[in-house]
Order: sequence, then C-alpha cells, then structure tokens
Amino acid sequence: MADRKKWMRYLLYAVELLLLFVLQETPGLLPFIMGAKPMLVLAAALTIAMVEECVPAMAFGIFAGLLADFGGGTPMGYHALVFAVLCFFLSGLCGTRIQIQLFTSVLMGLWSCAAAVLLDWLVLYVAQGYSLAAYALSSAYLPIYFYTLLTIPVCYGLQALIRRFFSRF
Amino acid sequence: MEKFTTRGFKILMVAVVVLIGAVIYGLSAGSSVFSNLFGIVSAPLLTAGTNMTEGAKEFIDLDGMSKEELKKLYVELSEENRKLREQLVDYYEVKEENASYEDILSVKDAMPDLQLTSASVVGRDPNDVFYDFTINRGYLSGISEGDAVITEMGVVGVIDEVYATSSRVRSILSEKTKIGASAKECGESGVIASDIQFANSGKVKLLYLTRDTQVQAGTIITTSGAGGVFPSDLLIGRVDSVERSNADSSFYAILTPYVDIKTVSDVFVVTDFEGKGDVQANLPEASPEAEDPAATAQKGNE
Repeated sequence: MADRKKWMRYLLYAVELLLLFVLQETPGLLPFIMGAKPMLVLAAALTIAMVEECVPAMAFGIFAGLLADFGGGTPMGYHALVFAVLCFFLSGLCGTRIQIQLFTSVLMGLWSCAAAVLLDWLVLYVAQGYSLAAYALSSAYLPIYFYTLLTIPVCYGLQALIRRFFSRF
Repeated sequence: MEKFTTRGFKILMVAVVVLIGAVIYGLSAGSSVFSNLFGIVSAPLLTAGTNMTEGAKEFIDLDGMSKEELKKLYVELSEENRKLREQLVDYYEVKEENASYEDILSVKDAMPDLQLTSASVVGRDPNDVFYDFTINRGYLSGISEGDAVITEMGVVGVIDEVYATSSRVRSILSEKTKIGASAKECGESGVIASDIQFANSGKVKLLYLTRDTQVQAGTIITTSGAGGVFPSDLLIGRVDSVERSNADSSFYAILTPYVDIKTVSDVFVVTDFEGKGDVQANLPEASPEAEDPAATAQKGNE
C-alpha cells in the first residue's frame, strides 16, 4: 500500500513537471518581469528534492533537466546533469541538516537556484563566446534568477500539498 | 531516511557518467534519439498550450465588464451563436485557412521560386536571451537545418536544430546569426548582426558600411542573398541611425526589424529556393575598407 502511494506521488510529480514545462514554454502565458520569464521546471525540481529522498530527487532532476534541454535547445543532457547533481545534494541537505519548511525552502532555493542560473550563464553564454557577458548576467540571467526564486514558495507549497495528500490515506 | 548513502552516491555517479555521455553524443551527433523522442512527446503539448493561451487571451479581453453584464452577454451570444452555427458551419476554419493561404500567396507572388512551409511558434524558453523559439514543424515536414525562417513582413531567423515534429529557430537577434544584407536604394551591402544589448531592445546592426555610406535613417534593408541561406530581396528592417564603429574605421547602421521577433506567432520556413546553398550567389562588390560581407555571412550561417 505504502509503495503504491509512493508511486502515485511520483506520477503526480511527473505530471506536474510536464504541465509546468508547458506553462513555462507557451508564448504569452506567463508575464515578463524585466524581460524575463521564470524557469518553472527548475523551481519544481528543486522543491521536489527538498521533500523527497536523494535518488527519486535526482531522477526528477534528470526529468526536469531533459525537459529544460529540449525547450532551450541546449545539448540533451546538460540541464539533466546539472539538475540531477543539484537535486541530489539538496535532498541530502534537507532533512538531515536542515528542517525544511516554507522559509527554509526559500533559503535553500537561494543558493541552488543561483548555482543553476550561474552555470547556465557560464556554460550557455560565456563559454559560447558571446560578447558582453557581464551585461548578459545583469540584464538577462539575474532577472531570470529572481523571478524563478519568486516561484519557489509556490512550488514548495504544491509539493507539500501533494505529500500531505498522500500521507492522509 | 535514505540520505547520502553509498548506494545513493553510486546511483548518482552512474547517472552523471551516462548524462555526460549523452551530452558528448549530443554535441557530436547533433539532434539525438532523446531529442526526437522528447520532441514527439512535447510538441503536441506545446501546441495545445499555445492554442489554449490564444483562447484565454480572447476571454481576458472582456475585462472591465461586471459579472451581470458578462452573464447577460453570454446568454445573448450563446443564442446568437447557436443560430449562426447552423449557417456558418465551418466559416471560421475556412476563413483562417484562407488568410493563411493569402499570406503564403503574398510571399509566393513576390518570390515565386520559394518553397514554403507554414509553422506556428509553440515554445519560447525563458532561458534564451536571444529570443530563439520552437516551431511545430520538423524534418517530417521537409524542414532542414539552416533553412531560412520568414513572415510576410520580413526575415525572422534560421532553423538551428531539427527534430521529427518540431524545430528550434535561431532568431535574427541572436549574436550567432549573420545575414548578408543590402540597401537597394544606395547599392551598399553589409552584414546583419546583433548582440545581447541590441537583442534586448529588439534591434540589429548592419555592419561594414564605409565612411562615405549613403545609408541613412529610413533606408530599407533587404537580404542580399549572399551565403545562399536567404533568398535575396527579403525585407529585414528600416534604419534608425548610422553610427561609427569603435573597433575600426567602418560605420554601422542600427535598424529595427520589420518582424517583432519577441511576439511573432506564425512563420514560414523556406525549404527551397533558386540559389539555395550557392555561396557565390549574389555576391556584393567587395569594399576595400571592410571585411567581405559574403564570407562573414556564410561563416555566421554555418
């Protein structure tokens, strides 16, 4: 029974990631703030990692990363790799060293989201040889970071709701 | 709780090795089986999302009306709609189709040798700083890497990656996109380029103009056909101003593209045209003061 509930929960996470991916990619659906849109699949993968075990957290990180790779036209596996490692360590931290709740989820989001966005800037912008790297960081990547950070509490609330829903039965 | 266990680390290491392998394979082989698989699954989802958004946008336009007014309007319109539906079975569908054909025809009339495939923008990634996007047509529709993407208003970009049922378009605002361009009225040519600063303001540059350039505000810039990626004489944009380059003695023009890349929703992919792939096609006269625009355009298009 417990196993069935666990798999149902995982299925719901997968559907959630897929829906957030559509929401994130659909033109004109999410409002732009300072010319940026949030990376919803990143926020969802990080918050799933905050409430799940290391291995499932990593698996959802890979799934979210593959979606991000497809949507962003980056080499298939790049985001999957970054999200997998981030989610694994985030999941390890939450629950052993940090008691996760709404406030601490934002704190955890602060560094993990920053790590993902900074890596994107380094790998997808600086390493590609584009000019005006500092300008790109301040005008494009930082707004994406802050906007994504804004969605962390919402995503955390969603994951907490899913977990609570399945723990009731 | 299973946290930081040896088993967990082992699984992570295996996953990391597999993913690094996938990245290396993806970089060397272009679009992979994974990409195509994801494309096949997500392209219909993205199309559905886009269609739903369009519907929702029409609904939101009704703001400013009270609940009662909206209810009354709804009842009236439902009745009217029922009557009209009987008469106009597929009028809107036909009308939309007709408009699409008119668009194709207008481009086809101007450029009779173009082979066009119409497509819709179904994905815009938040992480893309140059406003590249995804369209709902792939190699099953005859699209291939390097095909030009246009609208009836002008140039949009180039096909960067092709999957089975979707493709990634590198926009004209991308720093990697270089297009051979010319100003017909003064017979000058150059290369269209951009960077993140220009992309943010939705503008592009026409590089390699000479000191005695006749290009000025209001000049219309079209494709020159150099490089064999874009057919010649496609509209690109109108010049806002001409500035002096800091790097050398050449000048460049700042122009606003005719197509708003940030909001474009329907495009055409030029799958074939006379002179496609012909690097020497419509080569402009080489200028002694500037780098050869055709070579730079070809380099960028690669």
